[in-house]
Amino acid sequence: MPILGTVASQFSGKPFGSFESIATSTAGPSGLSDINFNTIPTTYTHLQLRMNLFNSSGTNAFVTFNGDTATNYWQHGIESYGGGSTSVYGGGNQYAGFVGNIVLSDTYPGVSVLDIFDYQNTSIRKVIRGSYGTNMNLSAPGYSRNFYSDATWGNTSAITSINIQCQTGVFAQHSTVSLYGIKG
Amino acid sequence: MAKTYTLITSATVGSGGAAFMQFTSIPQLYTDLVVLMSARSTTGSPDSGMEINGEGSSNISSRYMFSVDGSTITGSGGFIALVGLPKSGTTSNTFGNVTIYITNYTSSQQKAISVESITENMSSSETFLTLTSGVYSSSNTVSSLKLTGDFAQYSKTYLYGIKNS
Repeated sequence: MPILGTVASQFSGKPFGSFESIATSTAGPSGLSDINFNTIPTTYTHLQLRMNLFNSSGTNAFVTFNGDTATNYWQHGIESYGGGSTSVYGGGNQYAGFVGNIVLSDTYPGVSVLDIFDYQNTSIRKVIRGSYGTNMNLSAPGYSRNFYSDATWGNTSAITSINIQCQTGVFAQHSTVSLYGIKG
Repeated sequence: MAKTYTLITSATVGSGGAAFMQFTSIPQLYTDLVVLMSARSTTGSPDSGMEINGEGSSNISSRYMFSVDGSTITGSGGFIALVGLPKSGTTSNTFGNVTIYITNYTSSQQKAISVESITENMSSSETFLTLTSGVYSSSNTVSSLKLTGDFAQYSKTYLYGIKNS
């Protein structure tokens, strides 16, 4: 089998940054039931979502691609919650990010970073690595938790749009989701 | 605005596969390094690792936490484990993904390494989540990285430089 090597110094000093902001959506006083990024530029190799979300009722947020809300996503993850309990989970889902029982709050945000690799590569199913955390301080310590998760969207299509949906109610004021592009 | 996150180079595996992917003569122009990898194995083994300056075990130690098919495994060793790659026979077109962060790679002090990696096989088996903390304890700067794993076509890796100014 051949080896694949590259002399990195040949490529140093490119005159551009490789991590760029594409768009940010922020909820106003009425909140947002979902957040969409449509017509995602094709000028990047990877995408990253950074989310800072509030919700008064404590609910879930679901991430889907290209309008696909069928059970075409698989996830596994590990979580730590409350007083230090841990659990693992996994299975087929209708969404790629934010696996169940995410407790949000109007006071304490749920924060998540999702990395979406090779989002335009039509030879691979799209893989998403996610981390999530919320800490409700002493108001509800049992609901404080963090997740580390994977997901695969069982589709080889390029990702052209992303939807982040609030399961119940709305993402409250000051919720923000930012989409970044990473060049490759 | 400072260009703090810069692509240095990348490598893509062609139709013949590759025994490893490596970066040599890494420019000493940045503060930290980031490696992104999307990969699949051609063999029946999911193992993948990283060598630094040609060293795969000496001067390298790590502590890791794996979640494998719903079970959690922790441990330590003289290696940097990256991910359980999708191996031959797993769901087609699935790839594992890895992010490696190496701090102060031009320093003569110990270099800290963090690895976050995942593989999702779209089933209850052959699924991996990995968190690894490592250290490269050599006084040498990091000038080359070698990713091992018998990589399949369409596997890719990207090397980025992170500057603190």
